[in-house]
Amino acid sequence: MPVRGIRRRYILFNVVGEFSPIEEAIWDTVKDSILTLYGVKGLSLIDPNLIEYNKETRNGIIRCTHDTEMFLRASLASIMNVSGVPTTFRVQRTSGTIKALRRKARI
Amino acid sequence: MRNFIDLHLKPSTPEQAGQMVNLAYQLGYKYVVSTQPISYSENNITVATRVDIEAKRGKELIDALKNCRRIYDIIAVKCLSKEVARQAAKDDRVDILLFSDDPAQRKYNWLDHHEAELVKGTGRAYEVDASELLATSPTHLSKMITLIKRDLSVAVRYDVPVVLSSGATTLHTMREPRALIALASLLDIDEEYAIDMISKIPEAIIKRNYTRINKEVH
Repeated sequence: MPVRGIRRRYILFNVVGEFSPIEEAIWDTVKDSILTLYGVKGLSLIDPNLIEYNKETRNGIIRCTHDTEMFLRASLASIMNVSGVPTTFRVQRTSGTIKALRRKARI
Repeated sequence: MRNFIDLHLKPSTPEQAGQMVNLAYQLGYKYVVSTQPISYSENNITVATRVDIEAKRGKELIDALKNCRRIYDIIAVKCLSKEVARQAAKDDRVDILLFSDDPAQRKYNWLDHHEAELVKGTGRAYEVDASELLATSPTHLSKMITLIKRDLSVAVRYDVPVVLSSGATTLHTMREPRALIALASLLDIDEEYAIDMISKIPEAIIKRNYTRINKEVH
């Protein structure tokens, strides 16, 4: 029996702040923000995964399930600091495949 | 194509206002309303001025309104008491009603049914500042969500227009239009209406004011 895989959304974000945080700090902050807003159940539904993060360009790609994109966007928007330093996450683009996201964003 | 409008920038200096306006342009806004006059703007973005009147007595509000109408494009009243809220709801010079961001104060002073009845059909709008949803403490945030949702349910029932603004005081607290729409989802506002809250509804307020000011001038 053919089984359709879970549909995903890929979000390209940029981190704006006084310093460039490391990947682990970014990941912990995003998870904490989701947990604060939506709890453990929400975290499981969103199923986020930090695909990549470039410390130099401060761009990163994060994945979530297709129907929880708005939850992840709200979680990213509500982040005010990373490791105590004022930081803002700005979503640049979203796409259904990582390939298309890279093509559109030219990265 | 929608024109996104941020009706509430709260910079502390004209220089900061200029920086915030430039960032607003980069974030995709076509129109912003600032509480400070801007010293410069490098981009093609329309900027209007706004005043937030904070009053505790009706008389104070009336006195402040007398001096403001011809100076500012948008007049907002922060209702710090029931008396002021009622007065603001009845006064034609007021464009926007907003309530305290302190949950303790908001417990006794909110957009109640009588207030909404007065505002209904006048074109005055109730404003939600996204900065209220950027609280660092989960307890504070949960209280704010409950209180704003209570106001929104009354606003919807009485057909009071609702605008969504950033309420940003610094560059750091500014968010792109899509981020504001996502934050509105915390208040159970559907996406289409949230888009209207930062485009169609504020645009209607601005247009109405320009028409009114032009009539007064000619």
